[in-house]
Amino acid sequence: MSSPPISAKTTMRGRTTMSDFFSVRDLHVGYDEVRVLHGVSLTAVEGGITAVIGSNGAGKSTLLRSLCGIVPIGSGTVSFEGRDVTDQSAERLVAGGISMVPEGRWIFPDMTVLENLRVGAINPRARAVKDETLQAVMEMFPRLRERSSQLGGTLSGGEQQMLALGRGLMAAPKLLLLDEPTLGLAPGIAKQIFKILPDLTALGLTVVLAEQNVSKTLSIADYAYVLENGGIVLEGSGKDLLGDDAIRTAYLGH
Amino acid sequence: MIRAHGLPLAAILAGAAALMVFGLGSGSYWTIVALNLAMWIALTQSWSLFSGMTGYISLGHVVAYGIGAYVVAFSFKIVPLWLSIPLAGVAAGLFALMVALPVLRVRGPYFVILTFGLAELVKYILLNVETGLGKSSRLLFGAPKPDTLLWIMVGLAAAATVALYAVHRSRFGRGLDAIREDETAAETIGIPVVRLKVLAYAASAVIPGMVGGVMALRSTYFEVLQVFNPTISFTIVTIAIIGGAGDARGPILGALFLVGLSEVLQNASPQIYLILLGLCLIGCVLFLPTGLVGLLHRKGGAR
Repeated sequence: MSSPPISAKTTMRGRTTMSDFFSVRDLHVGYDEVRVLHGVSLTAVEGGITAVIGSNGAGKSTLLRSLCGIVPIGSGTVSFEGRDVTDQSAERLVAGGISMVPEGRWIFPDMTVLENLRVGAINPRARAVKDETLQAVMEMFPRLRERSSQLGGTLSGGEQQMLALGRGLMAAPKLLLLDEPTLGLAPGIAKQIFKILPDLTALGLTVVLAEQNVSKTLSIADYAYVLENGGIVLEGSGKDLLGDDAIRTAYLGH
Repeated sequence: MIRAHGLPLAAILAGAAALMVFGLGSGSYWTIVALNLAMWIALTQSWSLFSGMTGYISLGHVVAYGIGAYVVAFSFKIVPLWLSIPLAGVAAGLFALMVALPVLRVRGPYFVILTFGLAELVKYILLNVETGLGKSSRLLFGAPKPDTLLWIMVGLAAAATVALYAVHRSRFGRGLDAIREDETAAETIGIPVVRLKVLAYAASAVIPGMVGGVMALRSTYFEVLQVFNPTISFTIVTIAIIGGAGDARGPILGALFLVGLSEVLQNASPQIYLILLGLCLIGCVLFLPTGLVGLLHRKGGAR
C-alpha cells in the first residue's frame, strides 16, 4: 500500500477555498469540572467537507454540540459568515443557517416521517422554502417518500439516519454539522451514507463531519483534523492524512 | 401517537348547545351537573394544552383555579363580573408566566412534584394573607344564578376545546409535539423550546383561572382551602388519563365518564365510587394508554 486511494473530491477541491465562512478559534468546553476540549481551532472548507476524526471520547461530539449551541462554550470564539456567533442559542444558530444532525439521530419516534421533516423547517428562513426543500429531500432519499406516513420510530437504523439528515436539511442550512452519521449502521448502509455526503456539497452546502470511520471519511474529506484528548494533534487534506504514517498506524491498523 | 384528529368546530358548537339545553331544560339539579361537566371539560382541555402537548405533567393546575377564584372573590362587588372573570384568567396566566422559567427547568417526576408543591405554597401564602386581613372566608351575596353561570362555563369549555384543537393544528403545536418527543433534539433543530414551553404553560392557566372565578360565584362563598384543594388537580389528571390527552375529544369523553360515574355512585356509595375510579385508572394505564379516545381511533382504523 504505497499510494493512498484517490480522493473522490480532487475535482471539487479546485473550487473550494479556505475562508472565514466558518471558523473556530481556541475553543475550550467542559461539563462542570470535566474539561473536554482545550483550545480547539479549525476552519471549515467553504462548499466542501471538513472532517474531524478521532477515537471514542476524543471530544468530537462535544465539539459539534458546542458548535450548534446545545453545550455551552467555556471560552474561545466561533465565527460564521464573518460574524461572531460564539454564545448564540441553538435556535438562533439554526435560524442563521447552521444545522446539526446529532449522533444517535434523535428523530421523533412518534411522529410520521413527513411530520419529522416538516418540524425541521421551523425557522422563518426555512419556512419560506419548505416545499422546495421537502421536494429536494424526497428526491435525495426516495426511501423517505415511500415511508412518509410511517412513524419515525418504526424505520430501520439507516432510514432513521436518512430521516435525521433530511430533517437537518429542512432547516435550509448553509453549514451542516454531522455527528457520526454512520454510527451503529450496517456497513452497506454506512457506504450509502458516505456516497450521499459529497452530493450535499454539490448543493452548495458546507459540511463539518465528525466520524470514527477514518479511511472512508478521509477519502471524501477536503480537509481533516485529528482530535485526540480534546485537542487537534494533526491536520491536513484528506488525501495527505490517508498517506500519513501516524494516521495509518493509529487509526487504520497498518 | 394520536394527534390532529380533533373535532370540527360545528361539533364543538353542537356539543355546547346540547349541554346548554340539557342543563337548562331538565331542572336545577341537572343545571349543576351540566355546570360540573363543562367545568371539568374546560379544566382538562386547558391542562392538555400544556401537559398533554409537552409531556410535562402538571399536578398543580389547581393553582390557576384558586388564583382565579381569589381574584373574583376579592374584587366581588368592587369590579363588575364581566371584568373580574377575564381578570381572573389574566391573573392566573400572569402568575404562570412568572413562575414558568424556574419551574420548567426541571422535568419528569421532579416537575410533577414541583407543580404540586407550588400550588400548596400559593395556597398557604393566600391563607396567611386572608388571615392577616381578618377574613377566614368571604361570602359572595348576590352572585349570578347557576343558569347564568352555566352559559359562561359552557362558553369556557368550548373556548378551551377550540384552543386545544387550534394548537394541535398549528406550528406552535408541532413544536410542542417535538418537545414532548425529545426536547434536546427539538432544541438542536432550532425549535425555541423555552419560549414554547413558557407560552404553553401560561396559556394553559388562563381558562382555569376564569373557571375558578366562576366556581367561586357558583358556591357563593370563597375559602382558600376549598379553591386550592389538590383533589381538583388530581381529578384533572384522572380525566386526562381516562379520556386520553391525545386530542380534543379525550378530555370530553373523560369528563363525561367521570361526571357520569360520580352522579350514579358518589352519593349512593362513595366508597364504591372511589374503588371503581381507581380500577378504571389502573385499567386505562394498563390497557388503554391513549384513553377512551384511543378506542375511537382503533374503531376508525386510524393509526
